[in-house]
Amino acid sequence: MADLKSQTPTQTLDVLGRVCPYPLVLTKKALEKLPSGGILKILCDAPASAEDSLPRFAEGKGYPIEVVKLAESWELYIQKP
Amino acid sequence: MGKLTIGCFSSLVGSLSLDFSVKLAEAAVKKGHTVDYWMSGNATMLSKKGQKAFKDYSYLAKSVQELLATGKFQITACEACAAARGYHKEDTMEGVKSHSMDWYLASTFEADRVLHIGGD
Amino acid sequence: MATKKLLFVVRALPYKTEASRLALTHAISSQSVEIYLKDGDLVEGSVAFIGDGVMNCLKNQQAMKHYGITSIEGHMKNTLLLDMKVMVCKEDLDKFGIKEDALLMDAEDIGGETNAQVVPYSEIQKEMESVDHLLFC
Repeated sequence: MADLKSQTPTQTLDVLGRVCPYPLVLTKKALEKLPSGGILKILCDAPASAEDSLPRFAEGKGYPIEVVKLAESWELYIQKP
Repeated sequence: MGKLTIGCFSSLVGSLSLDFSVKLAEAAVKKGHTVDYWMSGNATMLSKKGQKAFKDYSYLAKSVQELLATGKFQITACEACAAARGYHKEDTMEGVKSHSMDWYLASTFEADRVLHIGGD
Repeated sequence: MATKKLLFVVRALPYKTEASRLALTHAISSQSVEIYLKDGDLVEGSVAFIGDGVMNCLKNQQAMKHYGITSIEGHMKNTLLLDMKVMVCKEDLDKFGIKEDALLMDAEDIGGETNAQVVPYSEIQKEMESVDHLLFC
């Protein structure tokens, strides 16, 4: 599997300080507009979104995802096939 | 038998709406229905472990544990609402889940009835 | 594949409690329920403001300035951005003397194409009768 976090993201979506439903809803919107093959980097500090709903969404769609845990937040990398 | 989804937003102890909604859940489970119970806003207080029983105040933690033991009851706290109030995973009562709001909306999909109770 | 329809009927005043804010955010989360449902199954949310609830629709709210929290306007705009149906009761607006130009009706500034609708209560009643579940907030 390609190492998504080491590649330059096509777009960065900052949802720090935002809680459900926005991390997932805004991610979906961003992915709709992303070109095929593009990588969306998401900055998120809501555990339920970063550890549950966002990975669940990506896996349901078959989108490669990597989740990096930082001190107080997460970086998620989702690639649109 | 049917499925009831309850979304409650009222505070623990401070509002008897929360007690009412738990009683409703008990009645439904007793009749053989399954109940999904969503706590959002102030109702996330109910997810907190370490609640103490006093005669003058509601003690719903026991009711929740008894409901969970029936196997017909699921209870989930809104993670964001809980975290905003300082309740995190390590503060959560055993058996209580923590998810984002989509859990509640998804629960309504299969529900025969939805009761959205709340505020204050 | 099925779609279940929910109508959030908002009667609560803005800011006095969090009920109306949570109604909007829960309605918005209907856009992301697929993570829990089978392929193709959906939940479609819509929002109606009645009674005191019509106050949530006023524009130029200053919540950030006075309380340090985001305003309800932001959530309203996001419902419109996501093409959700938002209805505001005409009779209740008239009761409070609120004109349509005092209301947040669109989300054009963030790319939204759907407008809120000021409608007679009878239209809201019809919507209530057409959905699978009513959630009173």
